[in-house]
Amino acid sequence: MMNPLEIAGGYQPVRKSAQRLRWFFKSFEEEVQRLSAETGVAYAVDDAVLANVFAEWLKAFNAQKPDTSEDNLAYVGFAAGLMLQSLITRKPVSVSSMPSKADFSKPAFFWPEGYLYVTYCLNVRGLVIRKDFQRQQSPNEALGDIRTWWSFKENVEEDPALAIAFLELFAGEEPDWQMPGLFRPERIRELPDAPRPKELKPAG
Amino acid sequence: MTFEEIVPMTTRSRLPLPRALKMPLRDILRGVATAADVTEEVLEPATALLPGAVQTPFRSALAAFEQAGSRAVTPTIDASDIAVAKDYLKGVDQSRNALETFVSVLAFVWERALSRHGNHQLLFSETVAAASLAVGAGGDDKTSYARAAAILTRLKKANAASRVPGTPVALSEEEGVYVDKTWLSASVWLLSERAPNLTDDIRLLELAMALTEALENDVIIAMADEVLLIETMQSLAEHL
Repeated sequence: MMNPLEIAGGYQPVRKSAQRLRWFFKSFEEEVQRLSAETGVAYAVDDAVLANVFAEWLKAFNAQKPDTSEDNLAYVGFAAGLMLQSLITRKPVSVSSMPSKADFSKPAFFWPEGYLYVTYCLNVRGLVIRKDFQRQQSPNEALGDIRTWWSFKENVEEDPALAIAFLELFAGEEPDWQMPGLFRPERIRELPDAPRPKELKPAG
Repeated sequence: MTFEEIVPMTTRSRLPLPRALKMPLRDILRGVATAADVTEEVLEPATALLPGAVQTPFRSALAAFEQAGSRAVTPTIDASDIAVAKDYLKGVDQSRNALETFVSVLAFVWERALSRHGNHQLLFSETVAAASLAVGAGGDDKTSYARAAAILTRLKKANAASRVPGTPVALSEEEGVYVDKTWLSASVWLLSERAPNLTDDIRLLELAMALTEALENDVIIAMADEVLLIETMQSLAEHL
């Protein structure tokens, strides 16, 4: 299971630090190292593409930033999804080598780059809500379910915005499958009465 | 942490420290390094026609010429230089010494940008840059970002970085964008929060360059509108 990133946010809230390129590079680099040590998968990171990911994410982040502070917590999850969307679209990471005994029925080996992106976004998301909002993230068991990952990989290749909904699913939240790229805080406020997601999109 | 830990001694031990040279002399040597580089490219086809016995010494001579110039014009900077340059850019310290330090930091950034993007046929003149900023860069009635934007505009108008610095030689669109991105990166880097040590601070400069590279279209638009440039600079510095 994942270990949360323990990167000091300094004197400001972690969610503010996470909006800085220096923090993003450092935290991403640490996640790559941590996951490589855990799985034996070696990754190569393209810094220029990673900078593009951040720039794209920052624009998307600012475009839908909520006006009221009561929506900040909900926006943390949405912003993490936006980051996952950018990572999946831009592909800053490639696999240099796989361990000899890789079990491809495990998500970490089935799609190593995607797994890295998801763990990074989940860990940052978890860190922010824990440090800044004193809440706990409870990842869904779908995170380790290979069938979900088949669906995840195929669906985000067709529609990268679905990465936002899948991250909500992995994080144990209610995904918005209809309009995942649109921040709708009122939907989250009404969640107890909201319809449950019926099914994941089929793998193919 | 000192700069000696970043630059290998082998590249520094054979020539006098660049800071000991006068600013115009550094400009000349920078031109020498670039000219040797360009000469090598231009003469590449002809070199193949030279007798084998002549080819090797010819190439060696050009390489030595180019390396000597490069070594001499890459400024050595330390944390205090960066702090002074930042103060100059913000208008906190507008002394002549601060101006010269700021310009030498620009030269460092210029060389750093060249090493990222490979050989380039543009030159940066510290002398032209310093002269363009010597008379009232402004600051008393401006915010840090507004002053920085005004300084960028002055450097651009003075053609401090050009094929022939100080003269209105038209640059290609690509060259113009390259110069704009380099100066914007330098400003964003200087105006952002300092990293805890020099190594990390230089890394931060690389990130500033990567960020302006990633936002190239926004940079192009911002450079044509001073109000937008100020906003862009502030946003990038805060998010670096």
